[in-house]
Amino acid sequence: MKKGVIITIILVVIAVVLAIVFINLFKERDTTEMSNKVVSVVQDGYLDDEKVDGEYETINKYLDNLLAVEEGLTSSYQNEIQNFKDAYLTYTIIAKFYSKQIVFTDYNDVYKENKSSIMDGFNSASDNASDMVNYINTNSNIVGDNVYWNLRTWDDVKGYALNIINQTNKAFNGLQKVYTGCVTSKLANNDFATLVLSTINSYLGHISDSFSEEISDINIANTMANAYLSGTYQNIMTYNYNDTLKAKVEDILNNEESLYYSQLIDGSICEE
Amino acid sequence: MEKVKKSSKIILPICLIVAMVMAIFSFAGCGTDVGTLSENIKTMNETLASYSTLFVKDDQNLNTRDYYKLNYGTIVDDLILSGTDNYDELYNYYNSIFSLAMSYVDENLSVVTNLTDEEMNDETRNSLDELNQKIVDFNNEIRPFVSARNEFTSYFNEYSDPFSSANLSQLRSFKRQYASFVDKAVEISLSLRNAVEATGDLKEIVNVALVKNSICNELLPIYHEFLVMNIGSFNFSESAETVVKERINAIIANLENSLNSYISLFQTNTGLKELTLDELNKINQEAENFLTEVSDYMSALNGLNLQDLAINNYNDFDEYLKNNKNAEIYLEKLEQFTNVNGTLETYLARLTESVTLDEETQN
Repeated sequence: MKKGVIITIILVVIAVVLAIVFINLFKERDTTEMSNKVVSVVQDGYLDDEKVDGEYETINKYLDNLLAVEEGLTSSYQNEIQNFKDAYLTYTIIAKFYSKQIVFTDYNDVYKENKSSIMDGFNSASDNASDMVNYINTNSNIVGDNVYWNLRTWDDVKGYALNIINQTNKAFNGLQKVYTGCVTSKLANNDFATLVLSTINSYLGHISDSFSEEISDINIANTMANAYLSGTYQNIMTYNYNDTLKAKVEDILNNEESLYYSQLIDGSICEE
Repeated sequence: MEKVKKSSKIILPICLIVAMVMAIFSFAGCGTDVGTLSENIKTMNETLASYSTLFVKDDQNLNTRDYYKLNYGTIVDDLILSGTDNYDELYNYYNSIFSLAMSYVDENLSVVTNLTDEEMNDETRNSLDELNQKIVDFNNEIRPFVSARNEFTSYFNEYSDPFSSANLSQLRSFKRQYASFVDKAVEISLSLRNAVEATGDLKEIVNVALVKNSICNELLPIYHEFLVMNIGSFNFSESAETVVKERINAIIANLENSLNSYISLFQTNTGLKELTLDELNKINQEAENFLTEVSDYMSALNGLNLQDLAINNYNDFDEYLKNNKNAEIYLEKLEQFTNVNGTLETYLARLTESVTLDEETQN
């Protein structure tokens, strides 16, 4: 009996040690999982604006189709469809920017705190985009010339659209924190980048509150994304050497009524 | 009782052996003394000198590509001189980087070989230990490299067509050996830099020459990793002509241009500019930030795997992307780092402004 107890205890200890070893073996130690998610969403996912017959292309064709309807397109419908279309475009620009730096990040507490919101946000938005595409493809023969049916389909997919917006915003909010807290490049990660990203996020955050209205916030987000985050984002990369821009950014950060704020949101803050 | 006696006859010797091994290892971890290091340095210099017809050293050309001028026999030397693709890399990349690394080593070794016991602490001892090991590794590599070089030149003396597949294969094989040799030299220079820093000289930030040398030494791996260890390890110029190859050629061209800027940072005659402590601190801060970018650049270079792209995927980037989804991101990072207005050029320009040089001293 005594022998049996001793053997049992030894086996339990061995099992615990092995469990600890295996857990440590497979424990996450870097940001690969999250960065791969961002890259896959941009390169082959719902934020890939170049993929033929991908979610972005399919959804955009559908939205253009609706906007081309002349009769029965109420201002409410028009605003919703246009807002979604503009937001979706803006998302692709911002996501591309993130994907270029997010591969080069440190694994730290900021990453750990925000990883799940980023992953959940993108996963959920992806699922909603897929569902929307399934609906569009299933009903593509029906969304023909019948005006009533065309716009009725928007009522059916609007929920998906709103989910895409809300979940992508959720992911971007987490991503902005990870960008600021984890991106290793001192050139890419600076006060200007943080200001731009957080400002864009705050404007995108207003979309679902006033979805049926003509919202200027989306235009602002889109203008800023185009001005500062697209292409080589040279203004961000040279910020550390641009004393004029540094002074403007500092003014905005320290002064709620900064005169430079309007330049920031109209995309002209980097102009001399 | 019998069992206990038998067990102890086995267990006790085992314990003694383990204790002895641990003692040996603990002594081994005590660090290298300056005497041992100096001996190995002497061996290194004597070995290189014994092959002085191969390693032609020119003290007047410190900090240039020609500090050491390696030769490979008349046929290959002529190919290099005439700028023949793939062969010119032996001078442009391998020889250049070897010269720059050894320049740094020869210029700075005295900082550590003149240390006294009182000046040594644990950090210094450990760094000397590492430096010593790198020198030993390099010393062990010299003779195999000389053999490889001799085999290479003999082959070309017998079969002189430089464009035959057999000769190009010989060239590739020699380059791999050469890369390993140059890599050992670069490792010494980097270890030496760490050792110099450990002595505290750099931390005091009063010696402009040391600061400049140490920063420039940090730049060397940027060229070495790309031009020698990656592109140089196979005949990239022979690989398939595609859009991605053009992009990589542009990166190579930018690196070659900036290598010239890097070398000119060393060309001084009357001496370095006088700098204040604030200015030196600023340079060091900028160097620290730049090194983060270098780290991203190295990650991108490792992630991209140029050899896999060129050899296994025939420079078909779309095909390559299927198995390496981040490849475009890595390539863009390399481009951003190396292009004309990119991180490297900007940093070199700022260094040149800060740490140089009377105008009349430019060679």
